[in-house]
Amino acid sequence: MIATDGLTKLYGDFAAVRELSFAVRPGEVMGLVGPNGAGKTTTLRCLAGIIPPTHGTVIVAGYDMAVNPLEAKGKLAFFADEPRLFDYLTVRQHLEFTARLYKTKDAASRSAELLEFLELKDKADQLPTELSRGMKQKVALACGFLHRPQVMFFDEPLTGLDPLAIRRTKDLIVQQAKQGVAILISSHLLHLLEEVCSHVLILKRGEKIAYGTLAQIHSQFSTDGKDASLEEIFIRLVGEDAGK
Amino acid sequence: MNSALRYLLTHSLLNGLLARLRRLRQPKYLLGAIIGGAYFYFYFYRFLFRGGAPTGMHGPSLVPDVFWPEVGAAILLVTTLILSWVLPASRAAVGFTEAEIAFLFSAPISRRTLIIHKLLKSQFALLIISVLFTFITGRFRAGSEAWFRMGGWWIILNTLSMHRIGASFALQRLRERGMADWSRRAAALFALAALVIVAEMTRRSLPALPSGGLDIAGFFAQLTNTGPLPYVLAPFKWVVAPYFAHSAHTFLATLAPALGIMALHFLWVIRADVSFEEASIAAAQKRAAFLTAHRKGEMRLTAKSDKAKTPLWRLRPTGFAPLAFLWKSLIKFGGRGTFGFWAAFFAILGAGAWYVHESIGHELPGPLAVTAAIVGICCYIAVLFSLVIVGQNATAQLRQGMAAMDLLKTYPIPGWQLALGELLGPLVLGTLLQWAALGIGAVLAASLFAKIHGAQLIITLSACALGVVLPALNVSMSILPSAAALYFPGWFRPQEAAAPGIENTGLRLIVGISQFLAIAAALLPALFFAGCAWFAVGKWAPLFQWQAIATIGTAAIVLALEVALGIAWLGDLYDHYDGSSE
Repeated sequence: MIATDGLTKLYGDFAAVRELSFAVRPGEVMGLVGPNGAGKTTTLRCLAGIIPPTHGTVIVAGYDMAVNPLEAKGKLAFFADEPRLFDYLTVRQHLEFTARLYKTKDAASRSAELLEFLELKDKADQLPTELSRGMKQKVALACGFLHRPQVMFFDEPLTGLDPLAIRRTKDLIVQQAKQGVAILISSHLLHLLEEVCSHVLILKRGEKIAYGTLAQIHSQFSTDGKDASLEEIFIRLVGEDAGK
Repeated sequence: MNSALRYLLTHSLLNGLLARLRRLRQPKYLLGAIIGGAYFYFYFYRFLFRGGAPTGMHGPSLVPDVFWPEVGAAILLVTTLILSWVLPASRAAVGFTEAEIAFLFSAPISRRTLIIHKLLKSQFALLIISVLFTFITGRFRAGSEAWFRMGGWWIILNTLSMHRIGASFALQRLRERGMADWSRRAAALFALAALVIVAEMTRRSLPALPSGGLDIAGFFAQLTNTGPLPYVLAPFKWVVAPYFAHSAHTFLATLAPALGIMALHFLWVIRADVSFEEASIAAAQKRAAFLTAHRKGEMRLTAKSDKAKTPLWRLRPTGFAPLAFLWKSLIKFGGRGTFGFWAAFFAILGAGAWYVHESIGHELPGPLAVTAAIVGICCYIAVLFSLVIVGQNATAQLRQGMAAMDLLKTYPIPGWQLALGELLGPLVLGTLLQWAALGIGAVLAASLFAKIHGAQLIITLSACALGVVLPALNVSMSILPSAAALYFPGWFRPQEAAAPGIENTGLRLIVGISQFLAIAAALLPALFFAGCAWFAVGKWAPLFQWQAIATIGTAAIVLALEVALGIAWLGDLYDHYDGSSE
């Protein structure tokens, strides 16, 4: 699971994230939304141990990121908005490399399974330069799934994907959640979040302004007895910050 | 000129300068600016404008004075201009940035206006280059002439730049009319040959070279002042004449013809109605790709290979993580194929060196002895230079890795293993190549100096000593620049190309000097303990070989400890790296 308490990230006097506390339990998918500059990516990076928070605690799969960073990182997978692959490693070599980093003992069978599952089998000996954007995304997913993480962070996972790839990625996220993975997704695509998320956290200027299950958010912020969409709720809550 | 373009030009220039000035509020950039400024002042300026050239700088010129000024420069200019007709094989392209292409090419702006914009925009860069060239060339002839030289350089560079563009436009037109590259090159070479024939005919009309003392200067003076050559060279001499002016009066006198030639070039370029847009877009994309590679620390001289490489070994899923980085780096280097090539190359060289060694006592054929000496010297020179190059490559690898820091930081690996992993590839490869070169050099040196008593032993031991300490020296050379990149990511921002400027020169000087101080500091304890070992062993077992082995071993151990500390320090910097705060 993911749990954070009082997470704060300061850049000089500017607070990118302020006193953020929430939890994502196994099987839950939380959508992290907010206007540009709300602190979504900073939050994700702090949670994934990429940058240190100024204050607050981050617990990933039971490990405190400040105390046991390696154990915590061993249980998580972080997917950046742009799949960053090594130009000179083939798809299979990416998996071999990742296996060594995470010391995945059943790497051979797991790699074969993932290549099959993500339809990368016939691309296994190709370099990233020969792959499409969607295929590269799949390679990044395969590398992330290899060590069976208990926690997954997605930063704008659908950027630049075609409709079919979007559908598959959404299915994968839901499938992983069903297998007990705690997932946190940062995205501007609110309809995606409505489809895959069980929980939503809305950030504005680094602060939490709404947090709960989708149903709770809907019931809390819908007016006139009408069930407002997440997009309508978002625009109402972030007000003039939206669209910046 | 279009007011929007004027706006773009002035505001880009002003904002660029303001950004640079604002950056000086950060102490590190201010310090860099002070040191960079001092460097330029002491190294160039005071010799240039203050007439403070050190003794000897005004000594006799290597090139005869009668020949060199103007005529020599004019001939150089002719050659350069001819090359701009011979060399370009691609379509006419004017250098625009991707942003300029996106905004200007689709805007209602004429080609002529675009070219004028381009020419005006290039003035700032040409002015900077003129100042730099004046710094460089002016050091040898100091004094107040620097201003004339700067003006002269500006005219020469502008003329060259416009001629290059004009030539590419003219060639584009010829191509559009069906003239092939080979016929264009043939025409240019024909023009060059005609010039040579004219020169030769002129030479034949001259009196024979004086026998005895060769009056080369006088001969060339006659050659370039007889027949048609003075007329052919006249326009080129006009262009370079302001550069050679010794007074304000001569500068102004030579200015009008030079500016006239420049104006003609300007008219030639702006009146050419050639479609350059497509080629400019391709050139901008190529440049953007180059810059991206540069920012990532991937400087490639050749096109990127699109073939998968075979790794040197099969990577097991468990084990020491830095070896995975080494495995990855070796694939990047070229995998089994490239490794095999270099192994074969050094094996052949090694076999040759061994043959030379086996011939000790026999007379080696002259050419073979000379070749062996040259190869031996080259090997030692390569080892010397590689000390800097290996460290630089390792640092470049680490900087490249910083571009993917988001990914690296999510790996469940301690920082020191990440740092070691990133550095390991270039260091292992570099050290292997150094050992091979050192071994071959030592075998050849030992063979060539075999007749000198004790030389073989000294060469062998010194090669062994160097071989043992080389890995540590390589790591030492890379630790400080790597630490600087991690500690000051703003200086070495992986996603940005190195910015020019005095402050950046200063920063690089600081890092460079610190690097050599760090190496010196690392060597001092090693030398101290190695010296202790030498005397201690000498006391108990006074045999040269034992003393040498103990000394080398001690130095290696001390250096290895220092390297371990350095890697631990880098690891700590990795663990605390927060690029987002820059």
